[in-house]
Amino acid sequence: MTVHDAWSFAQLEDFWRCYEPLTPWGRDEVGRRAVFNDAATINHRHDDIAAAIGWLEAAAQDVVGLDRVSYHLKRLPRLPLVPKDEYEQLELFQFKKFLANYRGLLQRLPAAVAAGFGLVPAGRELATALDMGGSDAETFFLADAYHPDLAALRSDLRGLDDELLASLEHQTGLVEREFGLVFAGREFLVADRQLLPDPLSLAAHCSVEPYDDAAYLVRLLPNAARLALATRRESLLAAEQATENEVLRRLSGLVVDALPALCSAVQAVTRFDLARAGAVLAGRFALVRPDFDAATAVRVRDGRFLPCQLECQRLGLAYQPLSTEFGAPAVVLFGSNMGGKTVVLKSLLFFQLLAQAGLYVPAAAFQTRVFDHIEYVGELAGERLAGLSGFGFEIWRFQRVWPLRNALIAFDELARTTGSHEAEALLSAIVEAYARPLPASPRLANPRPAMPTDLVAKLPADRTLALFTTHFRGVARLPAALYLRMEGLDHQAACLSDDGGRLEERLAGINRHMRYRLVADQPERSDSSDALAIAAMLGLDCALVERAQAYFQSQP
Amino acid sequence: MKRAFDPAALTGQVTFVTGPEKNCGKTSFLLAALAAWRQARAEAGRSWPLALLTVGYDGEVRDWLSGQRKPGAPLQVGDYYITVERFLRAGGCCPEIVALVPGSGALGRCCIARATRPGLAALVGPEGNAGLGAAIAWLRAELAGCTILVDGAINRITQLAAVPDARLAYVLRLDRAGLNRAVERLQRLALLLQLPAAPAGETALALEAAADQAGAAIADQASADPALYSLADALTSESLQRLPAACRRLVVEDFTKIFLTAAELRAGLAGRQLYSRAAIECVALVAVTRGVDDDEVARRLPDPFIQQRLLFNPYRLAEPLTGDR
Repeated sequence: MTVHDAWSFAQLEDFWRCYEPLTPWGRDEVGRRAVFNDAATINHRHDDIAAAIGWLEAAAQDVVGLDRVSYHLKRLPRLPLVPKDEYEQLELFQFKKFLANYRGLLQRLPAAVAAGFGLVPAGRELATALDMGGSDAETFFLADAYHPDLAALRSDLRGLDDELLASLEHQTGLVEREFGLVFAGREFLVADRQLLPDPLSLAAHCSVEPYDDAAYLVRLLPNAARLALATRRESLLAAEQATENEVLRRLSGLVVDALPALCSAVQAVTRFDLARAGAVLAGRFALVRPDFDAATAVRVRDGRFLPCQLECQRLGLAYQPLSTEFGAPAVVLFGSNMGGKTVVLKSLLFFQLLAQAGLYVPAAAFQTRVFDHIEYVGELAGERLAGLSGFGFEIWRFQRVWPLRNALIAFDELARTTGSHEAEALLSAIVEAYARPLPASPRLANPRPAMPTDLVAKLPADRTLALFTTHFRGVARLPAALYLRMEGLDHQAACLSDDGGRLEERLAGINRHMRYRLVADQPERSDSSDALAIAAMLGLDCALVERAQAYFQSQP
Repeated sequence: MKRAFDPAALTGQVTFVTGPEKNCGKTSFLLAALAAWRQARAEAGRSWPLALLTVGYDGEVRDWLSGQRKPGAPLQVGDYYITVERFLRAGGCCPEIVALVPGSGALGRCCIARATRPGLAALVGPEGNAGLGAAIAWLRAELAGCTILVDGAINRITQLAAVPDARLAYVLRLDRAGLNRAVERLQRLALLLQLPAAPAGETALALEAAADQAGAAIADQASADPALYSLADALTSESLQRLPAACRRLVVEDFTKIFLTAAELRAGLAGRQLYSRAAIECVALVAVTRGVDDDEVARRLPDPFIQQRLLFNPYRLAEPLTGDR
């Protein structure tokens, strides 16, 4: 499924680069950034990672053995896995190198682990044949042993080469002795004319032609014997090549016979490679297997949004892992500026995308279900489209996700750039739509009008989970929706602190006093404003802050 | 002054033979240097490994110097070379494939092969820097002390900068009609090859700042020196004009990133000092003269840097690969 917007919003790309399979097929898979919505595929991926973790833990002491497994995986070349009448020598080299490293991989893995991934011996007959050509296991040439005529042909060629060399050396020696022309391995010479007062005297051995006004170009002329040797050599080379082509065709037949087994081997290697890379990733970042058995709520315990955690580490700030449960189809998250509500959205998408990409997730526990779609509605950094404002973008994106069913959809501050009354109305309608249609609640001070039946018919009455962050506290309060808020600033502690004048220090101060926890939200309005307190902590003029506070408290 | 090319300068090194145009004598120099190096290796009684590489495929049929069909590279048993499948067996050296080179060009995938008997190689290399870099990295990793000669692409020396510790042999032809232009080319190259190393410490700051603002500015000022700027990308006539007036000292990555004529360099850099972060060693400046007296060329290139590296026609009879003047 396509998850481009959600992927970008969840800042998955940097982390994805840490997922490092070693084979070309594993790297292809990572490059596709595949996210699955098929529970069986995802579970198989997780099972494979579990098996790879088990193997890595059992083999932890065998550093050399683990290193050799990586070595062989890295050296597996791509294969031309389509039948051909005649493979090129280069392609046979690829098959040989694959089989050598595949064999090496199997030797290094415990039999049970190898069998679990479908890594079974393949292409034995082909390997035996290819091993006949090459000075080591990973090189290939068309050796004499492949054909009874090759050895004789090549012996003749070697003899001819020796004769040709002797003839050339004889001629260059003669020209050097008699005419002082030292070729020294060069195929021609540029000689000053004054050094060759009688160029015709060279005619029996060399061709001489003008180079410029001051020099001749001199080239050795092959004598009749050498020409005959060269002609004979060409003929032998042609015979050798024809014989080699025969060998290539025979070896190609063996390749075609082995192709089904080789295809299976490539699939098994890819599966093992991805599992190994996933297991390494799980070990490096303390990831856990997601639990897809949870039928209703999405729950996360001590989930770590790694991009934020690493950024906090870099800035020397504390990071608060996320623990929460989303048991309703529509969840509205309130929170102050810099309070972490967008990070909650990103975190959940991050975990869900990783889980459905077949990887483990950075949490103590993550219970979820498989969504058919994972979407984000909002503006992405740096994004612009001709004629559309930020609001236009949101509506355009929403129209795309509106028909989707069984989706996880994150709405980050929907309609934040439009007027607050219109935004609250629009947001209320969308939250209501995802929360399922229910009769108007008598508990509400202003009962909303009944939903038209044609809209009811379009509602995603399925397992879609929609998450909304917003500042608009006037959004409709619906019984079927869940309303949470970031706990926000500890005003009392913040008042007592003095975090200095530098931005870094002020940010650290906010981080220290901000409680990045989700708590149930009550519709009643608070007397204190996190936004104004944060403005004060960022150094806004105190008189302005006090005046703003007065306005805030005087509002109905 | 008499100066001969020392083939030992090639041993265990990566040397790119390049030049400014087609048929300037690159391959001829490479083959002559190869013959001299082999002779030195034989005299030393050693078996140093050798690899012949190229960039792309030289489709030229005739050699400018000799007027003959361009020869294949002569291979001896154990030599490594780069080529594609269609030319792999054509030279009769009974090749053993030892490695694949990443990527694929118009002629197919490249591989590194080892000659198991004497023959000729039609060299075909990857078009991109990455493939060539991978081939050289493989040779360096697998064959300790390998001497690598690269028949470089014309007028493209950026590949050289992509390979750590690679050296340069620059070949150009000088005939009567193009003498002034060739002399200017050599002077410009010598000027760039002699750029002083970037000031330590300050440079790193400046380059880092420039990289952070890719596309936002052509140059960034280093924090400590208000006149010191660095340039992450190429120095062209356009970027030269956009340099701030306050810039008195400019750091470039290496000389291959400078795309200015000698005149532009002189005019644009008046009063400014240019620095190079990475130095590239030049082992030879090879002048293939035709209809021009070598003495005249030497007189017009008095820069000691040039004089120390200047060689003339590698096929001249007097002495193989000599700078005899």
